[in-house]
Amino acid sequence: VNVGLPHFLTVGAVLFALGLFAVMSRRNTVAILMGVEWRSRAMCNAGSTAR
Amino acid sequence: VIRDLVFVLLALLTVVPAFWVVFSRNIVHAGFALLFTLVGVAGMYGFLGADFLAVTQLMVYVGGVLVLVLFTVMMTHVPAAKRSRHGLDRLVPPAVFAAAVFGVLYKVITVVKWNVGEASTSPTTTEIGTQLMTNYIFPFEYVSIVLLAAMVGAAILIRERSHAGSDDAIAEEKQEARP
Repeated sequence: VNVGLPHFLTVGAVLFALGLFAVMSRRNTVAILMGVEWRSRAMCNAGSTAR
Repeated sequence: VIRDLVFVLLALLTVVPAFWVVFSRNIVHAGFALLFTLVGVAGMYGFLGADFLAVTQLMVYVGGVLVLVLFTVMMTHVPAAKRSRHGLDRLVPPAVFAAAVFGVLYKVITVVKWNVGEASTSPTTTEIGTQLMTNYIFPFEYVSIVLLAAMVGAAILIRERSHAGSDDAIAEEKQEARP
């Protein structure tokens, strides 16, 4: 398997979905912030990949 | 082959602790798992040739934000009775929604024909600095003003609360001092 752009973007999508899940399911503010952190990391990952 | 292996290791380093963070009840464990996720993301940035982003990720997020989160978690005490217990009714709707979002994203990722360029092999820091000080000077300064406004806002919020708190304390002291 040749690692390409879709693979990196898929990892970003997994992180984004997990962050979304954490934000929606957690009550703890710190945990919600961690979820937000992932979503931003996922978007940075996508941006870095697509540059 | 080595490139594929490195990617798989970095992806596992990123995604497995991410699941741990989501499903761990212990917030300290979640914080430490987040450390591995952020390190994995930094590795991916480096793997993609974004050296500046990789170093920034390590310095700012692993070295700064994560330590702040762990300090916050360790210095605040949550009574056992107040700890949230997740029932299925609370977990299923977010899980379904997140899975749907992932499905849409995955579909877009696989369907769209991406215009893939060559990753640069030279260091990017000089170029980023030059661009920020020339072509992107306005967005750069704009972001600094937004950050300044956020800092001033936070300071005002804290000040108002502490003033209100001290006023209440003075009133209570006066009431107690009355015969």
